[in-house]
Amino acid sequence: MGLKVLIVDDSSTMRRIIAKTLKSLDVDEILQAADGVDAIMILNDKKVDLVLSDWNMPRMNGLRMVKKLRENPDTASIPIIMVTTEAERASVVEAIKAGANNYLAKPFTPDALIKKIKETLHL
Amino acid sequence: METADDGRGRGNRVRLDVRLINPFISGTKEVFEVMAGLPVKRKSLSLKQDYKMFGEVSGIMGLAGDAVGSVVISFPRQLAESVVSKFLGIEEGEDVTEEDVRDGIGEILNMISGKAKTLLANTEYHFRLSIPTVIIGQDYEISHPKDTPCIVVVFESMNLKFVLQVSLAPQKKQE
Ligand SMILES: [Mg+2]
Repeated sequence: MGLKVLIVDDSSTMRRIIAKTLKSLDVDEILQAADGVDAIMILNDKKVDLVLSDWNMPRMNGLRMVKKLRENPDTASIPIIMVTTEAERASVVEAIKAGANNYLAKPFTPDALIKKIKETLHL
Repeated sequence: METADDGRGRGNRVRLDVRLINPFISGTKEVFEVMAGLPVKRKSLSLKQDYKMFGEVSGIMGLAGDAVGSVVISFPRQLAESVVSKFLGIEEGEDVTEEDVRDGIGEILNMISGKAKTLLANTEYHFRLSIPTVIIGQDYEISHPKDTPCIVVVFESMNLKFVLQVSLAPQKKQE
């Protein structure tokens, strides 16, 4: 069975770059959201194996989204990797504290993203 | 400190704080190389005296926090399209829509500013990012704060030039 992955980023360019990179993994469904509000709506009726989320987005940013997902028992244990330009130590610590499982700074190579995913999902 | 032409064309030299501009220069190179495999050469450094934009496609991001100002990236349309194609891995000759260019240039600026922000952590130039805006058009102006120098860095990629403008100053502490 392939993975179901939700990509959350306000940039369609970034969502396309990430979706393309996922092709080298056994992924059978890619869902996309442009901000935290859309992502939470999608996760209300879809189960996914992994969420890849940006931080800076309009309406609801990635950090607030992670906190909200962790408060809800249905989404509390979905693996989440933050993929963001916010790479300062303090930001990484804040995201992990909020419940993100892993962290990848933009810009990234396809290999770095695949490695983070494998590490997070123990593949 | 590095010196640069003051942009008035009289050979005047002004002092630039390289601690401010270098993180943006290395950020630009890294974003292009890592995400698109595109080598980028830094050409000249100068100070901007007017508000006229270099190219038809410009991304702008306001910066606030310990330091306040803005960063702008400006491309000729052809280069903006080629750069976005490279980032997306679109084949040569395939179409890039205006929406792709708008979004792509915004995200490139976001990554460059994010990289610079990380490198400027724990300095008086530390700032917060905002959501980038992209303008596409001819002969338009984007202003920068009058009392803050605006540093213009010219880069070259795929034999065409683009510019990055940084206008950022530490906030004056309220007594
Ligand atoms: Mg974003």
